[in-house]
Amino acid sequence: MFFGRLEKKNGFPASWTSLTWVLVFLIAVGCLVIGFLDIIAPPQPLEDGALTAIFPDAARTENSNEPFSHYRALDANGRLIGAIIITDSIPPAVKGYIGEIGSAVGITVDGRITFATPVRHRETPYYMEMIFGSGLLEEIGGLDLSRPFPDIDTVSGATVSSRAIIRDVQEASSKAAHTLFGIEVPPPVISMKNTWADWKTIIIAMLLTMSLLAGFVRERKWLKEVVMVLNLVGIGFLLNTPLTLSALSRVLTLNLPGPENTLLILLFLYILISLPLQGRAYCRFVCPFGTLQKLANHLSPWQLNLTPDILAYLPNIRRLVLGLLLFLAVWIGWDGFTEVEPFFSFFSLKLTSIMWVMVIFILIMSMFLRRFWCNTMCPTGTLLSMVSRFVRPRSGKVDETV
Amino acid sequence: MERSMKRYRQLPPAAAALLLGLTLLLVLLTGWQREIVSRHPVADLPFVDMNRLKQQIDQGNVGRNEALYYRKDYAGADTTEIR
Repeated sequence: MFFGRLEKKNGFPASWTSLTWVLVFLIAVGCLVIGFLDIIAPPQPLEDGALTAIFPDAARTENSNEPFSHYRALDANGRLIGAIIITDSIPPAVKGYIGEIGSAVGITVDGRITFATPVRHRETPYYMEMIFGSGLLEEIGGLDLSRPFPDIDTVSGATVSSRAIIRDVQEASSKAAHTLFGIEVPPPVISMKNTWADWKTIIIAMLLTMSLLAGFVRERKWLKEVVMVLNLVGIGFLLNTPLTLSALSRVLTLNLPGPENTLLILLFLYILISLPLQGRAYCRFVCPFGTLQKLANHLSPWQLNLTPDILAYLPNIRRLVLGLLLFLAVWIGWDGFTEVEPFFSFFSLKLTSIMWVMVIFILIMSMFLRRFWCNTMCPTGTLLSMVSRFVRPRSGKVDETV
Repeated sequence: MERSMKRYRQLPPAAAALLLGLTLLLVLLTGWQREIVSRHPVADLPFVDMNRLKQQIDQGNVGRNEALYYRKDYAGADTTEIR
């Protein structure tokens, strides 16, 4: 059997291997279906509590679809005092890190923003937490739309998402204030920074090009090691943008990166080119956490070997872990389970307490077992490995370990 | 360090299984922790009294941002406050 070839050499039952493949395949198809249903589903109305928080002065609200879908905010006497709009119902559609963002914005009849907050989005919860805790939304609240929109700073570490939110709120609320209340709004001055000419984009483009070329070079181990260290510094500590299950799961649910998310687009482009030609080259010398484990491995003079039995089980365990995480995150809706990888927030050093324990444990284990995380659990590497089986089936190489 | 200079030892299968189990446990605990610290709209909570919430916002006891997005890990404090 196609799926069973891998473990036969150790007498491992091929049916188990087939089972883990089928399980992950079914879960992945389910993710695609869920993503599709999500796209065609009508938007959910905002709850009363959310409306109250956005427009506290409103005694009640009522729906209106003219000239676009919004909520009319009324005082106790039924007098119109403002409106609550959802930005995704007013063009243009603004994409954040992943997918379109819909922010709820309260606007008074005299053109003041009461509050604005994203309510419909597929952004990574971790980055949205950074935005919610940054004071950005409070800065937008209270702005007078009849005056020029101030230049609001983006949130460091969540630049793409925060820039998209600012732009989205500015464009939609300006249009709404003019259309609904006849307020003369100064033309929006959108500081559309060209992210393709940004230094971060240039650095990652150079690193990935270098990695792609290094993948074609045979021998010359030192060259690959130099590229690995550069990627550790660049993609890891400087840009903090390794490929994660969080990003992959969003693509799996048909939420593609926005045009301003140049780093992720380039990373996906690299994967698309390198996977059919070089297999898991990403894992071997682009992944910064892989390099970190390799460096840890150099520190110890003692090494542990796994028995053939355990080695035969590992790919199946990895596939089961990947399937479990995707199931919990997409099918059940517990998004946090796509953020379990140690490199997800390690390079920003913003780790939760348990994550710290896990990272330290993995790095210590990597001293004695080569690339402990990559070879035992890594869901991102497992997904790449599974895809590579299909895109380079004739390579004859078993791309299970790195 | 060259591979040949390292001293190799076989890890007993039971120890390897224990390590794998421990790693999986840490992965699941991390996922659980990330999930519960993510914020959720307060309106998702069935027990929240909206009039009380509005009053709290008016009095400045609950920030609008806090009211709209709510950390489950502070459940005790926030729920009592909003309730």
